[in-house]
Amino acid sequence: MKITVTNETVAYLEQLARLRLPERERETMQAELQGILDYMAVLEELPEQGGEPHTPKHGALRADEVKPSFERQELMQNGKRIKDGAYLVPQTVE
Amino acid sequence: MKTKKAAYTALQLGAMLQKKEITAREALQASLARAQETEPSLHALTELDEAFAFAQADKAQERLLRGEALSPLDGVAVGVKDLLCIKGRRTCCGSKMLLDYVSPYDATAAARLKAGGVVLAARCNMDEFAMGSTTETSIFGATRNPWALDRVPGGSSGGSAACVAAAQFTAAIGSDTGGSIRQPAAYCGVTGFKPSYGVISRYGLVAYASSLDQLSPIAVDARDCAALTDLMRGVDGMDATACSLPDTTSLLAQCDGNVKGLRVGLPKECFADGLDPEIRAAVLALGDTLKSLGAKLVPVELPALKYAIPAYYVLACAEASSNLSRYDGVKYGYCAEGAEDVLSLHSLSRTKGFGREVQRRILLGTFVLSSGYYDAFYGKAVRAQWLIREGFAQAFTQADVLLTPVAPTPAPKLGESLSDPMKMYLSDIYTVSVNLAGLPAAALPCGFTKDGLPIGAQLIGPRLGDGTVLRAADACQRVTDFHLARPEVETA
Repeated sequence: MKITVTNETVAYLEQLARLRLPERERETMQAELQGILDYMAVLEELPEQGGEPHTPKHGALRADEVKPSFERQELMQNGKRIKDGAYLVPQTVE
Repeated sequence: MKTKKAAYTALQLGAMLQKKEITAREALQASLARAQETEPSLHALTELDEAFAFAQADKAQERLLRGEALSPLDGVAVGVKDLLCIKGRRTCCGSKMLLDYVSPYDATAAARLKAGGVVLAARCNMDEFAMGSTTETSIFGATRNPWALDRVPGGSSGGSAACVAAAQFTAAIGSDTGGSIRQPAAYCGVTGFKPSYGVISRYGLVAYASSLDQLSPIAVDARDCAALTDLMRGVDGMDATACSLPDTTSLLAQCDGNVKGLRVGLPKECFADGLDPEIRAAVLALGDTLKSLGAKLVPVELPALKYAIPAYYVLACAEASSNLSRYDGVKYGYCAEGAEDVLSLHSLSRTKGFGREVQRRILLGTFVLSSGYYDAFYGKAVRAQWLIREGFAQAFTQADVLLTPVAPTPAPKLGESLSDPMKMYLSDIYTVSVNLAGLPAAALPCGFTKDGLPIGAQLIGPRLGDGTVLRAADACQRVTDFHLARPEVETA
């Protein structure tokens, strides 16, 4: 399957990934992504059979103990905009 | 390039400290003096807080005077890649996004190193968020290869490798997701070891690709790597993927020099066209060294290796796009000014906070997970991964370890890789498959090019065969001395 990366493709990916590239950078990114995806076409040569994933087993689970972890203030120390123990963001609802 | 020999390994330094031949403060002072001398040329470190380092060294010295060493490495100072959380310290992953992030907790591995008395002395430079193979994408600027200042040290743990190669420290901690310890170790002429996936807890390791990331030591020799891995490894209630090794003997004790009867596989795909002839010769010479010690060389095949690069970059970037979605400017990290709504806050913060390579991998990962392309890319990459795993399992029915190059060329020049991402990605051809299969692997120096650049060989073991890999690497290093060579770094 030949993938063509267009300007609109990159714009859509930006929307999904919460990025906002300047137009000139988007053009360069478009060309770079095209080159990388062209190379990924090697995956189309995978044989039809084989390579069925097994579900990996996790290690033993720990006991579900309730115990203190961190103080709220410790965890919030890296926030930029904080008020009354909450992070501030621009208004989201009317 | 003038060369000299490493004065001592990390374990030898630890022994000297315990015998009181040198104090922890004196050893740290020597490291800091060396760093001061070489850093203007190398830029391997991003933070060197002398007060923080000396406080740890002085506590170690008190224990050593009482004869209460916490481990064979008590009092030994190491560099730490800037993505391992240390409580109260900046952990910024070479990124503007986390430039002022101070970790509120210790990573499990950091806590275990501290419990062993290791002095976490300095932060090592790295590619931003561990995404890169040259240590050129850090917000702090590029690190240079101590063997040739116009060349890269490799990446993403280039700072960790360079600081050991320059004899600033005897060891450093890095991480390896697709070769990020092994490749810089090879380029810088030092020893690196990536344990089997899960052997060292990832709690507190800033995530790039969670199914591939693994903390890894880089040091003077395999014994040093074994001792550091012994300190950090083991199950952890904070990481469900952390596991124990089946052999309860310490990895260091398993470095007994005995490789009689060891079957060393040479995958034909790893010695094909595209490999620098000097590298081929040096790696095969290491095979002959193993043979002279009683090992047996056997041909093996890894036909699925051709899918390794595309599978790795699809899977790693997919996971990265998910892992890095946490950076939204709200709870921590770079927060853009002037955003009118939440969407803009997220988008502007991420666009200004992330560098180009990180943005590229996030976009690539987003693409391969997006509707309409998921099966064609991510689905196929998962199948390719399992074919690669089955291929290794098959090879390990015929061999106990595999011997391959680490990289197809010696260290490239600075700037060569940045303009062509695909060229940079292809240089990972020998390393990424190991991460995809969750296997242990060591990179050890095995020679030099005619231009004096280090060459590294890779020893790969079966899953959880970490002891076998380190034993084989140590056996080589008992009869060769490539790993002890150190460059005379040009200073300004």
